[in-house]
Amino acid sequence: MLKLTNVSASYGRIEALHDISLEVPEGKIVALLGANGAGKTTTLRVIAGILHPTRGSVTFDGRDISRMETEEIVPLGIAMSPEGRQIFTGLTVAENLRMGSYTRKDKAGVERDLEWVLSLFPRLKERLNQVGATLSGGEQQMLAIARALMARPRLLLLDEPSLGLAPMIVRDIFTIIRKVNSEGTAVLLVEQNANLALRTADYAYILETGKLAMHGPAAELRRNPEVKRIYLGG
Amino acid sequence: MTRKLLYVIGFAAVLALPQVLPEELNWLIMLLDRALMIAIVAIGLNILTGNAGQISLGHAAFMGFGAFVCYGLTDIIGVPFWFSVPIAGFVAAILGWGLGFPALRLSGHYLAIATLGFGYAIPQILNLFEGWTGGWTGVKPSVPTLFGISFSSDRAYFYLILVTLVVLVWIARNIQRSAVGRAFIALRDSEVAAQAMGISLAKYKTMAFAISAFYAGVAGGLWAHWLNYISPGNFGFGISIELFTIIVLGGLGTVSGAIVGALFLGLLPKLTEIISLSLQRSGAFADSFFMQNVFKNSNQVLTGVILILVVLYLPMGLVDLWRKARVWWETRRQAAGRQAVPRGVK
Ligand SMILES: Nc1ncnc2c1ncn2[C@@H]1O[C@H](COP(=O)(O)OP(=O)(O)OP(=O)(O)O)[C@@H](O)[C@H]1O
Ligand SMILES: [Mg+2]
Repeated sequence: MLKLTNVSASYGRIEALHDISLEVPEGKIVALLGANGAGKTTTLRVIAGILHPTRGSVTFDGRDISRMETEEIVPLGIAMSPEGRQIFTGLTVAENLRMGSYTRKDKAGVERDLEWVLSLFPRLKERLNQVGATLSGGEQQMLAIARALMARPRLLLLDEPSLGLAPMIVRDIFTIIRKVNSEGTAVLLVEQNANLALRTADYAYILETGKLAMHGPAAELRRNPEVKRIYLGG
Repeated sequence: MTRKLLYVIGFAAVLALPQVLPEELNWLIMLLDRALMIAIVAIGLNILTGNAGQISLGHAAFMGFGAFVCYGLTDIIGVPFWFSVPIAGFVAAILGWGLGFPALRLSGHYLAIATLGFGYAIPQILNLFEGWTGGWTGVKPSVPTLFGISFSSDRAYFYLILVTLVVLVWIARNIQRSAVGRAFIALRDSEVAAQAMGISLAKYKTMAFAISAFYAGVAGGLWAHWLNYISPGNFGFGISIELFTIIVLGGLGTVSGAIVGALFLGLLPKLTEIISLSLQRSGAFADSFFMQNVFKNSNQVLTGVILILVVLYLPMGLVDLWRKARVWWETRRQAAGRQAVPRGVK
């Protein structure tokens, strides 16, 4: 469904991604791992059209999207929950969710999806009229994912959904990610928590300073001694 | 119901104000006229800064530009004043939209500096077109007339400003409640997320600049034909800072904040001046040269102290006073209710 071929990307003169190729098949969860500054967020930005690649191509359903703007890419079915949650603190939960469906024109569909995401995140349903600023960290993360789901994506980009959250909340959130996936949404998951990511994903890529270091089925990588030593802590 | 009634009474009182104020209070009408025109600019600036999160320290330049466009149209080309005012708004909006593009690459302190430079440059540029703007000596815009009524007095002009203000308040409210208004807040709260949702930063930032410049341009047009004298040098840093102070003082992001802030800052210096004068005349410390000097300069100091107190105790702006008062009132009523019950039981 999504395919990156020999993608490079830079911030000004600094190259952050070098010759990356990866694939997210329909309906799968793919993890993207790597140390701080490896280029995980940059990869998601390139896919979402926030940053354009300097070389290589990004295709979605066989269509080249590497030169498209985000507002054109979101309607194709790619939505992102950015790193650090980035919810709109001055808007209510309901308004935040509406912003997620910003590019959509089908009102009835939006109403249906609002019901759907609220059934996934009942805690948000109780707080629809609360402003974003007053949500707890866990609730904010749920809102960030729910907001992305309001675009009704076929591919969901998640940037570190477990960041700074208690294990209980992380478990809840990952249960919901699996559920969304089982209903047919493909997920590209960026995570610092490699253990959790490899348990959740079908396939994984590992980045090292902007380059692809390793990739394979998640179960295989979990047993790989090098991965164990560097990313799984033992 | 009672609330609506209050609004009607309040509005009627505002309408009657110029009719009932005695001659001696002409200065008050003059200050109100000025404050309400500034309020129009502040409403626009509050959409840009309060809602969309883009700072501007050069907004007086849009006002000045609008003033000269309106003057040029009315008194040089001969377009009816009623037509020139909105056109001045639109022409200023185009300039604002243009400024939005360099602003795309800047934010925070850097945007502040860039808009400061803009506010400095525009009067200099206007100054070069002497045939139009009169250079530093300025020009004298005409007194507008409508249906044979001449708007030469501050009292008559008050209504002109009021009508414009009401229309522009209505427009601002509608913008804020629309999808555009929410997009502004989204890009203020998180550019990254706004972008990820498919909100075009370029489109909405330039739009916010254009809208705020429109407000400034309209107010500038009114200003020109109210003061009947304008020079490029009048629209400098002083007014820009005044505008910025108003929205922070009144309340960022709200229409009422801009109006309350403009009225407060417009009338405060006069109020402190009255206090200062009465202190001097009171005869207290009459033999102390030092204290007399303190009294004489007390108005500026008082103004400063009051501004500091407001931002210290009402960081959400003067409009927050209303909310705070309501909360206080509610808790008092509840406390009274709790006491009343046991007494009733006895
Ligand atoms: N806006 C930017 N301007 C310049 N350089 C950037 C920018 N964003 C990221 N970089 C650089 O690009 C490289 C990759 O950053 P990226 O954010 O993609 O890493 P990451 O893998 O997401 O790291 P983390 O786990 O810390 O989030 C880093 O060297 C970083 O310093
Ligand atoms: Mg990152």
